[in-house]
Amino acid sequence: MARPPAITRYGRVIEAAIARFTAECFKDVETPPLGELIAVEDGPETIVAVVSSIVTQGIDPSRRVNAHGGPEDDLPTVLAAHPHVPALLLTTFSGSVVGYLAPDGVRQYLPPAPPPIQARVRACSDEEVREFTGSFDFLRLLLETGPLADEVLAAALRRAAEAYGAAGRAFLVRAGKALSPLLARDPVRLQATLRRMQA
Amino acid sequence: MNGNGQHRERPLDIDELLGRRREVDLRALGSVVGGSLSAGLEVRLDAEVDVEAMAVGRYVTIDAHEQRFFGMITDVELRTTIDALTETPPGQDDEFLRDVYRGTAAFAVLHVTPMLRVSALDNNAAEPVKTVPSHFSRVREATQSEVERIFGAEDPQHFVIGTPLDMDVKVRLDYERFVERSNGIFGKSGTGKTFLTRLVLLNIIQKSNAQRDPQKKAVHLVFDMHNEYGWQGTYEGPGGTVKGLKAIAPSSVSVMTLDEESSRRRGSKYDSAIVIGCDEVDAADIALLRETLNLSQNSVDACHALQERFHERWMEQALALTADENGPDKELRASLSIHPATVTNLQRGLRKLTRNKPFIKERAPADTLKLLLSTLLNGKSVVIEFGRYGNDLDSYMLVANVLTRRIHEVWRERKELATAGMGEEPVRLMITIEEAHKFLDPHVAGQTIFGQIAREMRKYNVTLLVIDQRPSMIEPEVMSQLGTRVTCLLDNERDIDAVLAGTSGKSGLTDVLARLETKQQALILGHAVPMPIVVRPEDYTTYERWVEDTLRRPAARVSDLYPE
Repeated sequence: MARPPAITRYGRVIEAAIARFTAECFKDVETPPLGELIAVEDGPETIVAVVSSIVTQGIDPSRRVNAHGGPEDDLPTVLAAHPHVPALLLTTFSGSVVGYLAPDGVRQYLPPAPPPIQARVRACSDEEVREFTGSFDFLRLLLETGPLADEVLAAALRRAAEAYGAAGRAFLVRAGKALSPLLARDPVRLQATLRRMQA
Repeated sequence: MNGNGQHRERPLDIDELLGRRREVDLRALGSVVGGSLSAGLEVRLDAEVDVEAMAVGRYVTIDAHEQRFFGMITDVELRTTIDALTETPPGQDDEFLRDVYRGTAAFAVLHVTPMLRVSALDNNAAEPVKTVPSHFSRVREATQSEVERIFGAEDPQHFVIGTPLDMDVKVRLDYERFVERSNGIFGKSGTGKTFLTRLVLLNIIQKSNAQRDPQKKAVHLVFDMHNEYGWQGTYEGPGGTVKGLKAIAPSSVSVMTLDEESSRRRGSKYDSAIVIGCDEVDAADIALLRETLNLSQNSVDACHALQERFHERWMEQALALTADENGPDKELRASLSIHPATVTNLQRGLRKLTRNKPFIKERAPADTLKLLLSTLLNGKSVVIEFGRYGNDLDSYMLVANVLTRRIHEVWRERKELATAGMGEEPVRLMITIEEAHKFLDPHVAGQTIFGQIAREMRKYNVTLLVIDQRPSMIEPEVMSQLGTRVTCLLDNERDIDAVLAGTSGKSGLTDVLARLETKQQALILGHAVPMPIVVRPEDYTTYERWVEDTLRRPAARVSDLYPE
């Protein structure tokens, strides 16, 4: 899937820790897919992260969003009857930090400081994806991201493979080879992750 | 490394000077991860190297810290870091998983026996290894020029024996080192022993002719059991026959036959016939044939007793003895303590030996042995064809033993005189015997002249070239004296053990040896090569042509025309 040449900006950082940040999506802009490699602009370093969770909820945390319509009404019907609903919703996504882009190259370890709040988050270009995935030290960081780490990792590698075009499979094999020693103690987990990596 | 361990000037290489033929093919294989000097190194194959492209017997170079090692791949092993993979391997259709695991979780290990090392500071001196390369030293395929440098010196001192597997270089044996000791050529029947022997014999004739120093010349005496070496031999290839030594180098080889009728029939051009006299046969010769002649120990003792009494006429006397209890020979028998039953046994054996053998006469004409000796002493090789009698082991052993004993006596005499400063040293003599284990098995090796020659080595300028398919049946002490061993495929474990006895890195070589192809591959180890190597022998027919050309090339110098 070829990405448009223009920079896709997804949102702004609203919460930041050293290994993970949360960003709020711009209005009327598509949400980044799970596993997308994203970059934080506007900071001292360009921090690189993988989209590891996406949450949509009501704007006002004290008010629950109500369900509208009956069992026969599909989504377009409901939205037509209640056009205000999207306006009451807010989408945030989290990025698990996997490294940063220093002026002289890629670093696959945590940056010295978390991204600034309000910094813009954008998608990495295909070229950046290829540059960043030239080595696989970041896999270890991804494996530490929590209960769904394997899912996130598999999704990230699948997304990255798209940037390689026809060489995507070879890339995935390389990634798998890098992953197998990391999960050597848990062959079941390794095998399951490898299966999920295949696009 | 050359024979004396001295440094040899490396010949100038135009291509190298011009920067052509840079070694593009420095193909990395992996890293040293463990092992020992005695058990060999373990080399983990890089993930991207295909294990199926590896082969035992191939050479590798290990670029270590300050020196470079050369070794041979002796085994290839598959391993996995994840035990579960051996229990639940990826399914047939799960190509992705197989691709991922291959080379990482499931990988290959090469077992490499280090053989030689070259200091990085001094490119010329290669010496046997005394240590191992350090951890994670990089291992790559040996390049042609490296192999060439180790085996390749093209000079009057070396002769080509073949090419290594998968390489386009020549492997050469050191002529001087080869002829100075006894050597062996082994292999199961039908693996190309004869072919290799012919090649070696020819090479030595050719190299010997090229020597300026008469002390370095060598001649052959070949006991040619199956008429393979003289005028024409069989060849399992197009045509079915190849030229023998005499046909290629007529001025350097003389053919003598035991069976003139057979030689004539085969169209073999022989120079003279061999006749053995009963008076030349020793009691010890009969002792050697005890088993094949079905003689009792008493009979053998009787032979010795008779010889002591009647000297060279003992056999005549033995055949004339009467077995009659109260016959005329009663007193003679009693004095020699020979029992009448022994007489019967002995006579039956001796008659079996001489029956239908026109080449055994009561008295030998004096010229047979004289001719043989003078031919050899004059630097001409002799092939003794056995004709139909080759299949008769008694004849083969008897003739070989009788002649060799006489020749050895003469050589010893000459050598001793030369040592005392009273004459010239006899030319080096290499005696080729087939079915060598019959002469050299532990029961008889102590008694035969061959056992003696093998043990005393080059002391009297006589050495052996033993050809055999059952090296395990040769006395271990004799085996250990063999300088260079050329061996084709062997599949009996004891034979393999026997050939490799005393070699460093033996366990690895065992695998190499057992995996040789049935034809056209041989492992060479020992004195005349710097390290063991598997070769494909030279193609004989092209080689034949080459030797003919070299031998017939007009002499370049006057001294070539009139050798001392």
